[in-house]
Amino acid sequence: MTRLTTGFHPDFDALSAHADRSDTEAARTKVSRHVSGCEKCRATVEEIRALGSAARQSVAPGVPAGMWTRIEQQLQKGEPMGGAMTQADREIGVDAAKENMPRPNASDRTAKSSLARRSLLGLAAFLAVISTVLVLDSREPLAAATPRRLTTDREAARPGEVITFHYRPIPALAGQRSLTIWMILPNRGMQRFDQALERGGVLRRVSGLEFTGTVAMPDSTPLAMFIVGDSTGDIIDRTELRANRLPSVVLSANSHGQPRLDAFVLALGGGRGSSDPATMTRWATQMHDLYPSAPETWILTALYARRSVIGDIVKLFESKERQYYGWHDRLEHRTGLSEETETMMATLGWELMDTARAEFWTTRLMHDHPESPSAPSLWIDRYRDVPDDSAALVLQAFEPIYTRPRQVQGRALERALMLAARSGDSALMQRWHLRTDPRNMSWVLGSELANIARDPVALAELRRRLQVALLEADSAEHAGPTLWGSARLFAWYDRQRVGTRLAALQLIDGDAKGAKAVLDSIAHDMAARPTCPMPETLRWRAEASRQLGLMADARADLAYVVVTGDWRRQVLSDSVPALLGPAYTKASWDSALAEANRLKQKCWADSRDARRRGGG
Amino acid sequence: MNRSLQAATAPAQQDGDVADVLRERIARAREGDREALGELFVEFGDMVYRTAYRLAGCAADAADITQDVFLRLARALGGFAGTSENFDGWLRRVAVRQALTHLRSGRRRREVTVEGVANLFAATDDMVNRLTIDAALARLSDEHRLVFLLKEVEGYDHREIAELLEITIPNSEVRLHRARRELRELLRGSR
Repeated sequence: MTRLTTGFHPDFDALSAHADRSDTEAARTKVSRHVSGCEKCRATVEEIRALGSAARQSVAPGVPAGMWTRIEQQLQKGEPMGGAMTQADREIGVDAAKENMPRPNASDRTAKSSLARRSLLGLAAFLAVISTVLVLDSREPLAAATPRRLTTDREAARPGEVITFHYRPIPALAGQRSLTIWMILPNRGMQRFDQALERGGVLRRVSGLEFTGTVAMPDSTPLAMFIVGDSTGDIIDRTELRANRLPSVVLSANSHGQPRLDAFVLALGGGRGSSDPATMTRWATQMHDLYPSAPETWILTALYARRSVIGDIVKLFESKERQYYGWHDRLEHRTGLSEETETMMATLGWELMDTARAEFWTTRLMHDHPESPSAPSLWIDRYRDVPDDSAALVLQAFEPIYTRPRQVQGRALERALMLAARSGDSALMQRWHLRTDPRNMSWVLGSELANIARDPVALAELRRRLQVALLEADSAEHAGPTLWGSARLFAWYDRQRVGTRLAALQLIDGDAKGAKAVLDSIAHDMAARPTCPMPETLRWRAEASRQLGLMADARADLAYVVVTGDWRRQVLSDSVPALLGPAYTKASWDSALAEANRLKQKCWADSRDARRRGGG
Repeated sequence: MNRSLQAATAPAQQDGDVADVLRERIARAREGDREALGELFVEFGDMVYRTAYRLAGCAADAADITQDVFLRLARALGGFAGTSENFDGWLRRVAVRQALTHLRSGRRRREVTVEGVANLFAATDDMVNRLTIDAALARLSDEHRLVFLLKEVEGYDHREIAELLEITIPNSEVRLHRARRELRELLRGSR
C-alpha cells in the first residue's frame, strides 16, 4: 500500500509501508524525502519498526512439562511415525521443504542497517524494546514461563553457604544415577573456558526424572553460574545456552544475605542485551533498592529501568541524554570511581554520540585504570572516522597502548585492522592482521608469506604469539576434566596446527632440515591417531622436502593437499609442475593423486569408525 | 556474560560435530526411531512450541500444534531435502504451517487463562503500565495478528503470507498496516 494523503504528512499506511520498504519506488522517494525532514513522521516510522522489534524480543513460554510423555503415549497408541507420507504430512512438511535455505528472520535484516542508524536509533530501539518488554512487574516470573531444568532455592548466597539445586534431566543424562553440577566462575576469566570451570557438587536421583543436590557458594567471586553434566563432562545439558538464555546464576551475598554490589555490576553489565530481560529487570530493581547511591546503580538501573510502554522513542532517547548529563555533572570531579563506572560513562558517551564527554571519560579511564581491558577499545573508538591519510598516525599512537601487558578486547583489534586497511600500508595491514589471530589460516597463504618475511617486527611478534599459543594448547590438552568431551582433542589438534606454523617460520628462516624434522614428527603423531593429516602440515613439509631435494616426498604431500580440497587453489596456483620441476611427469603426478585419494578415504573411514565407537 | 559464555562454551571447531550429530538424529527420526525423535524434541520442542504459541495465542492450542508437529515429523522428514544447518528454519516453517492448519480446522480450544484475563484488565490499571506487546497482540483479531507475526517475527514476505493465508498480496499489506495501527493505539492508550 502506497497511498499518500493530500495533506502535509503521509498517512499511517504509507509510513507503515515505508517502514518495511514495501512501497513503490516513487512513493518511497516521496515519503523518504518527507520523513527525512519531518521529526514527527520519523518518530512514527521508528515506532512502527520498534513494534516489530518488541514482538521479536517478546519471550513466549517454552514447551510445558510432560509434553513429550503425551506425544510418546500417542506414538505408542499407533499414531503415525515412519512410512509413507500422507496428504497431511505433505501439507505441513513438503511445502516447507521446498525452501530449504535458511530464512533470514526479520532481526537478521535489521542487523544490516547502517552504522549511523545503529548508533543513534539502535540505542533508541534498544530502549524502546527494553521499555516494552520490561513493563512486566519484576516479581512476575516471566522467565519461569519457560521452565528451567536446573532450579535453585536462592538467587544470592554468602561464600560457603549451601545452595540446593533441583534438576530435570535431558534424555542424554536421564539414565545416570548421579550427575555433576559444574560451576562457571567468570572472575577467573572467560577467555579459556577450562580456567573458569570448577566441579561444584553431585546431584542424586530422588525420583524417576528428578535429581537434587547441594553446592557451597565459592569464595571471592561476584557470581557463579551453574550447569549440569555427567561426571566426566562429556555430556552437558546445554539447553539454556542453546535458548540464548543465562544459565542458572547465583549472586554472591554480603553478611546480611543481600546480593553484593559487584555481583549486580557483573550480572547487569555483562548480561546487557541478554534475552532474559525479566531476570535483568529483577536484578536492576533489587540493585536500586539496595544500593541507591552507587554511581553504578544510576547507570545500570537506568538501562533496565521499568518505563512506560512503547511510545515516543525520541523522548526516551532525549531522556537518556539528560540523565547522562546529570551523571556526568555529579561524577566529573569525584575521585576514586570504579573501573566499571568510568567504562560505562565512556561507553554511553559514545553511544549517545556525545564526543566531548566520551573522550573525557575515556581519558579518565586510561589514567585511573590503565589496565582496564576496555580502555584500548574506547581509545581507538574515537578515531574510527579519521580521514584515511591519518589512519597510520592513529595506529602509531595506539602501538604503546596495545603493547601494554593486558588483555586487549577483540573490538580494539578489529578497529585497528580496519584503520590499517584504510591506511593503504600493506605492512601495517599485515601486522594487525597477524595480531587479530595468529592461528588463522590466511597468514600462511603464499601471497602473504613474502610480507611476513619482510617485516621483522611482524615475524618476531608472530613467533612469540605462536609460542604462547603452543603452551596454552599443551596445557589445555593435559588439563583436568573439561565440559566438553572433545576439548582435549581440539587442544591436541590446535597444538599440531600451531606447531606446524612454528615449523613454517623455521623454514622461512632457512632451516629446512629442522623444519622438516618437526613436520615429520607432527605428521607421525597424527598418523598414530584415527585422524587425517592436516593439509597445512603437508603443504609446509612439501616445501621443506622441495628445498632439500626430496622431490618424491614433496610430490606425495602436494598430491594429498590437492585431493583434500583444502589449499588446493594455492597449490594449483603455485603450479605443481613449477614446484616439482624435472620431478614432475603426468604419470607420476596421477599416480601420486591416486595414492593420496586412497589415503584420504582410509583415514576418513578410520576416523568415522573411531567416532562411532566413542559414541559420536 | 551471556555472549562471552557462549563464545567460551561453543568453540567454532565443535560446529562440525554438532552438525554431524543433528544429521544423524534427523536420519534416525526419518526411519521412525522414537529416541531420535525425542532428542529432536528436546532440542527443538521449545522453538516449535513458541512459534505455535505466538500464532495461536493460547497455550492449549500451542500444545496441540506442537504435538501434531512431532507426531507427524517422522513422515514429514521424508520431504526434507535440506541439511542439518537449515533444519531449524525448515522445522519452524513446518510449525507455522501446522499452526495455520490448526487455526483453520475449528479445533481451537479458545481457552481463557488466568494470565489472559489479567492482561485484558491490565490496560485499565492506571497505577502501573502493564500492557505488553503480547497482551496487545492478544487483543488483535486473528487475521491481523497472524499477518503481523508472520511478517515481523517469522520473517515471511507479503507474497508468502498471501500464499499461506490464501489471501491477496494487497490484502496482506492492508492487514499488516491495520495490525500496526491497532497495536500502536492499544499500547499508547495504555499509558
